[in-house]
Order: sequence, then C-alpha cells, then structure tokens
Amino acid sequence: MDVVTVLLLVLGLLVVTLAAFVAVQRRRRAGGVIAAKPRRLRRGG
Amino acid sequence: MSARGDDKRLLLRATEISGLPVVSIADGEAVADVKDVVYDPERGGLVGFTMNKRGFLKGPMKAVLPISSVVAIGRDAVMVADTDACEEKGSGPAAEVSAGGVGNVVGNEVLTDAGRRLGKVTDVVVAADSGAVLGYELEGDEDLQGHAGQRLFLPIPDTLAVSGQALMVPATAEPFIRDDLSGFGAAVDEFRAELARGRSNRR
Repeated sequence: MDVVTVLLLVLGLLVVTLAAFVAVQRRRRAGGVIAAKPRRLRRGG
Repeated sequence: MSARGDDKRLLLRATEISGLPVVSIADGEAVADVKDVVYDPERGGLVGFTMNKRGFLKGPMKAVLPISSVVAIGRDAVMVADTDACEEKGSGPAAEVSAGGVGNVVGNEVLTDAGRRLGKVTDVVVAADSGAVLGYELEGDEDLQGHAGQRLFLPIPDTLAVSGQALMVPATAEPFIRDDLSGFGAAVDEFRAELARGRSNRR
C-alpha cells in the first residue's frame, strides 16, 4: 500500500467516525413529549 | 408553526418548545436548551422540562426545569427569573419532572371510550401562557372525517388518564376535531364546557 492509499483509508475512517458521533449526539440531544407517571405509580413505582 | 386563536392565546406544539433556549431574565444568558417536555395528563398541564447543555457537542443536563420556575414560554425562548431556576433531580418539584413517565406519547394511538381509533399522536398542543395542555395533534385515521393521513387537532379534557401505548379520549371530543390550529383554543373551550354541562346534568 502506498502513502496515498493509507491516507485515504485514514480519511475514510475519520469521516465514518465523525458521522457516527454526530448520529449518536443527535440521538442523545433529541427531545420528546413525555406524559408523567400516574400519581398512584409515582411512589415506589 | 404556532398560531393565535380567536381568543388571542398563543398555542404551541410541544415539539416546538423542545430545542428552545432557556434564558435567564436577570442576565439575559441562555443557560440550557429544552430537551423533553414533561406533562401531567391527570392535571392537564406541563410539569416541566428536561434540558440539554448548550452546544451541539454537549449532552443532557442533570438538572431539570420545573414549570413553577418558568416565568414565560414564548415562541423563541423559555424564560426563567435567573440561572438558579434549574433544580437538581430529586429535589422538590423537580422530582416530578425527573421521575420519568409512561414514555414519549408521540406515535401513540388515540382511542375513544366508544372504541373508535382516531389516529396517531404527532404532537401535543400547549397554551403558552398557562402551560395547560389543550389537545393532541393527530395523523388522522383512514375513515376519520375523510381526513386520512391529514394532521388534525383533537381537544382533550383537562384531566385525562394516560398509560401504555393508547391514549383514551371521550367520544364526545370527535365533533370538536379541527384541521387548523387557529380557532382550536375556542374548540377546546366549547368541548370542555359541554363536558362540564354533561357532568352537571348527570348529578
């Protein structure tokens, strides 16, 4: 493997890692609309 | 898209609130972003918000924002008095927000108490001034008022039981379904007034 191939491989790996990070981060920060637990279930629920 | 109904109330979809910055009035600083909108169906109002730290690279915050600490909910920001408004989980009203819930209601089925399926929840409609939960935005079921797959707004009673995967609403809500957010506040008032009349007639 020549230097260019190695560089391309490293660059590809970086891009994939970055895309995975962005996807995980989006999921972590994604919000929702949550209905609170019914009161009878809140204690010891 | 938000709307002002005939009654001048600002109605917001809960997903529009999610992602808004939480801004301190005292120093004008944005302290966090809203993550989850937590509401209590039994009380018919918002309980509070969970939050993300500011900046895309940062994750969820441990502290939560109870509705009692919110000064105003606007189209572009959630306002709090100062940066101390956010409370650690497990303390006071924050415990209710952080206690978790029956899960994200978006995607849940809506059934009437007469056994008719109305559609799937796509959002929850909130009155910005009071934090009251007024209704659900639905993706209408195939044979519902000939609005297959369309977005509809369904008023809900001020107290409601929610559990599992299905949300129950009274069958009497069906005639008050609207296909536009403007005027929805008035439809909710009419529906709740009719419910109250029905209750007093039964007594």
